[in-house]
Amino acid sequence: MIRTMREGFIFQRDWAGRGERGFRDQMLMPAIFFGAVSPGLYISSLFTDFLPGLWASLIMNIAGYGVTHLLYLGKMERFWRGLLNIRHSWISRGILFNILFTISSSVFIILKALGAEWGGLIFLCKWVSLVSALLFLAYPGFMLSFVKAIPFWRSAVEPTLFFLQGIMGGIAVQLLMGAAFSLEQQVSRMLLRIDFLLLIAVLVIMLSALVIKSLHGDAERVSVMYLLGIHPATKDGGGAFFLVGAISGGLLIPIALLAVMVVFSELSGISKALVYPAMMLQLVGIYLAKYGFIRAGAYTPPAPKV
Amino acid sequence: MKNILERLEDFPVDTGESKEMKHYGMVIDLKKCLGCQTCTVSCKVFHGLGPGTVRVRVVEEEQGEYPRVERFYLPIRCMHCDEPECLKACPTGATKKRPDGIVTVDQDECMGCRYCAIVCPYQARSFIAVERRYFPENGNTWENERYAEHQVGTMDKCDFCHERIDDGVRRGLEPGKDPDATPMCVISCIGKALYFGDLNDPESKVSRLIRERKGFRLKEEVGTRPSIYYLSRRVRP
Repeated sequence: MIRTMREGFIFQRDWAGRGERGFRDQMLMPAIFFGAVSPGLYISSLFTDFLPGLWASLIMNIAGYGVTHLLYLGKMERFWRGLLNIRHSWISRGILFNILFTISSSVFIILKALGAEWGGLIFLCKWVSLVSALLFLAYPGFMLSFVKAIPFWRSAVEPTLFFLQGIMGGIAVQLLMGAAFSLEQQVSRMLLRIDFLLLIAVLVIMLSALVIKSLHGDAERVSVMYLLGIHPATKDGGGAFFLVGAISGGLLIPIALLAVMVVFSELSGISKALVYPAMMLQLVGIYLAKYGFIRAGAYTPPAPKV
Repeated sequence: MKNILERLEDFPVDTGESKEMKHYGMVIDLKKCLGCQTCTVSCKVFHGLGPGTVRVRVVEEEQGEYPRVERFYLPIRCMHCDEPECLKACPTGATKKRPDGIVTVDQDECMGCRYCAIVCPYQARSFIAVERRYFPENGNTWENERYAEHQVGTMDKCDFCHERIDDGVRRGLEPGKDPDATPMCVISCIGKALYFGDLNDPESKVSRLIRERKGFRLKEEVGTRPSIYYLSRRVRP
């Protein structure tokens, strides 16, 4: 039977929705998450000369981003076709940035690990991988901000947030890796300070974006209401995962924990014990914030006042 | 396998349309729409669309406040926009715009990323997630043939029944006037609420209706310039 539909503001569910293909429809969010953390980790490891981090970013990029993204596609064997509209499509551009990043970072890491003395090639790969990592970090944000149909995403906030969250995620993974691999105290302290500033920046941007968007238009207001858990559609847990998971768990608690360590510049045993939960919470928060922003995208109703 | 020249023809350049060039469009008279969903069903039957795949949907709308409340029906499908967002977003080039204004999806080229569905302001696209049929074991010849035309893992949308139009034009028929060259939803509409024709021809039925009854388009603010016009339930000044 065909149901007569009554439409108000509709939340998009083509991405990050419950699809009919089981786990394959759930693969987009891990792809977006690892697509941010992997280049973020690469950049932070590159600047701190942390080889295990470079290897981890490569693994995350291939297994975390590449494989999950392929699984999400309806026809994964045709993924190469995604490169055919680079002139207009942000997905095409994203695939291009990812391919550039994967190839150049792989060559750079392998040459670095082997200790090869091919200065020119290493220099070229280092810079190509750095630039492509920066572009790869920001592309999902641009992909969202160019969607005219969903007013909530139509702003410069999305690329900025995606970029900062990626760097934050990379730093968090690198600090967590410090438990298993030796990471100099000086480097840890520097990363913690950068991370602290990034957390505050993301919190300020996110909260001010929510306030501004809620004042801007009806569709944006509906999206903000969804994130705050005061929209009827949030019976699927919309408000809880954003407010509790992304804002409180992912930003406020890590900020409080890092504040202790930033104030006491020496990393004692106790403060080290605080780093790992803070970084874990931060990573979960990044995932949930992205998930929330994507699920909160609402279309305006189709019917005009006639 | 298409050569490079044929591939270039798949991406027609917008050269500005002359009156000689056809631009197919549709007019929907909201005064006549009963909300019976015959258009939805006839489309599904003709194209062999499985459960979950809808090319035309009829939305029930309520507006106003008591005691001045109105209810009406709003058929929505692909608007075959002049500036389609889906065409720009599609990374593979599977979404194409023909010179006559019809926007199509080549399922042989689609990789199923669903970005086109996200960017469409009218939510006019369906993703064929799994193979499903209404009567999997008792399909007739027509159903079996039509179902087989759709690929799982790709996008589906209204294409104005372009195979009927192309076939009709080849036989010298006029789309919008001759039923054999007109989309199924138009010829099956029991309220005669749907009109199809050439928007570039000022004397066509659709152009006259738009002119005389001040046809309007949905979500003009998005700037996609749809080829589907609606006629108000009220006479506009």
